[in-house]
Amino acid sequence: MKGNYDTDHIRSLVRPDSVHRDVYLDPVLFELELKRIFARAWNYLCHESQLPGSGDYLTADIAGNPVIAIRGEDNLIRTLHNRCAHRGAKVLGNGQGNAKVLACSYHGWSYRTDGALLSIPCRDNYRGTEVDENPAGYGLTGIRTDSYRGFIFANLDADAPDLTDYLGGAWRALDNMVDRSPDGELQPVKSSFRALYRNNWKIYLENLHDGMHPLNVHQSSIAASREQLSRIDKTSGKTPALALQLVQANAQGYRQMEELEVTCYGYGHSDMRGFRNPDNDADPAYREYVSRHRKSYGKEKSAQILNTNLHNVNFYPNASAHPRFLQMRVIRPVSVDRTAIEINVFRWKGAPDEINQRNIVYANTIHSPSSLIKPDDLEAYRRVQEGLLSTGQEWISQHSLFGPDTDDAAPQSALSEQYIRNQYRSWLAYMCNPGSTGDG
Amino acid sequence: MIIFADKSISTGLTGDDLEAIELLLHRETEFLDRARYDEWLALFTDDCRYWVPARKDQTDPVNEISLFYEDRDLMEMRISRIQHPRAHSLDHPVTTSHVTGDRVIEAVNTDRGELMITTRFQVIEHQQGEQRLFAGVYRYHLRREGEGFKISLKRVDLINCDAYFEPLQVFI
Ligand code: FES
Ligand SMILES: [Fe+2]
Repeated sequence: MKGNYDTDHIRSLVRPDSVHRDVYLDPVLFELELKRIFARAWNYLCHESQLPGSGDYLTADIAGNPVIAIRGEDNLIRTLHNRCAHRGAKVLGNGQGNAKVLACSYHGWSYRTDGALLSIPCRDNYRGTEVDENPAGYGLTGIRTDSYRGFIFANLDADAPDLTDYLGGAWRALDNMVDRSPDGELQPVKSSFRALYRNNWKIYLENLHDGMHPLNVHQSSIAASREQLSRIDKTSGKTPALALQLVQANAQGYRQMEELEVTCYGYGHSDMRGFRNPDNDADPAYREYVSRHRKSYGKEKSAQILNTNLHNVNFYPNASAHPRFLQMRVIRPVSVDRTAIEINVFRWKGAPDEINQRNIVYANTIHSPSSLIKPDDLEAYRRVQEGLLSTGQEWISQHSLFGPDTDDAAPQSALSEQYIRNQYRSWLAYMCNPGSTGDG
Repeated sequence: MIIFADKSISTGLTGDDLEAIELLLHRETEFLDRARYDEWLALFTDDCRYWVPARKDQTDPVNEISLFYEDRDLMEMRISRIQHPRAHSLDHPVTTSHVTGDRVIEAVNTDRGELMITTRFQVIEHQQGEQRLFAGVYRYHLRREGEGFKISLKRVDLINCDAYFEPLQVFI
């Protein structure tokens, strides 16, 4: 049954241990997700280092709304609706840039970087109208914006909880990303990776701590990297490229996956410990990095930061991070079966170049559109999306290590589907709340 | 056709050299289209790079991300993955058809036996009934090795390098 989604109907789509296929297939439900989930969650937009100067901006999308994140003359970063108060044109085209004044390209209404209306051509023609009497109502509408450790989030919902309450314990990933810099600062790497997935947005988030898939999905890359590593050993005795070792890391067995701790938080967030420490104490660049890091934080604190090895982190519903390799990924739901992902990579200020360069190697090898790993993940996502068209079964199993899932449940492992069930508890809470206006 | 970007390029290239270059660059795309990857790789030097920048005018592949930045080890690995029977995303193989334009000799360094050549390209890529189009400029660095030349760098500047991409699995 599709179509009219009252609360009872929505509730009937999610069981404690499985979900109904309609949540991945119905465009009506997808539109409702934009209104009730994406328009109410804190959406990650960017890191403040991407907008270093006054007037620096970038455009983004929140629940289908075109928005601008911009640093004002007062140094504050704000989020504004990218919608002219005159006849509605997007004031800025898509992309990144700098603007001291935001001037609409259509009839030239202009706005300050804080969104306030600055000027209107032929102003006299508006005399006596609402525009003249209430110019404050004719700016670029502001959106609630907050940041944590320089990571900027925006929320369309005035009733949403504060950002720190919302992030819950998941903030430890953001802490770790910044704290790994000897100077405590991030710098953006130029350009970003952009990928288009043929699956519902939730399928992506449901794979990020999935320790049951690599041995199946990544057979081809595991075999190819193993072969390549042994060829290098035999022929030259040279050190194998870091990239090959990174690919090989997917060859972890179920036993090892069982040791990876996955922690769930409120609002559908979760994080997962890294496979293994990719650093090597004997490596001179790493030693130099550690010594700089210790100088800043002291031995004990430094060790604590560098031993926190987090792999994927989900900030439900719109972002995921890879703290150890310093990536933020923005998830943009395009349609019920298409999702766009944009990945930004950062540098640790104060770290040796060689250390930062390894994060580039990781990004190029594992997360570029040309990734030696990801195409098989995307293929799996796509097969789920297409497999669910089958009417043979209505329900999707999330039974692995099922137990009563509570808010204070102990962390489980990468073999558990607890983090997916946790996402759905949050999904239900968002979706069953029609909002004060009743239309979500 | 081989043309010189500029008459002043002192070439020291013989007619045989030009013929060898023409054949080499023909094979470079032809072997890809025929999926003869081992022969394709043999056209490259041991210290070669295959590079697809992520932005226009990118000069730094080490401190910036790239769509591809592969040394010979990674190129070999990509090839073995493409040939692996359980590369699920390649159950339906990707096939390509390349068309290239004039070969323009941009610079010659006679001392080091190196030259830089650009050529425009269009590639149609096909998989499972769907086609997509890539276009841009190839920049080759060639180096004299033995009797002929080998490729030490193939740089692919896509006109849409900042687009949203579905997986790029084979060499462009
Ligand atoms: S729509 Fe922007 S000035 Fe008219
Ligand atoms: Fe995977």
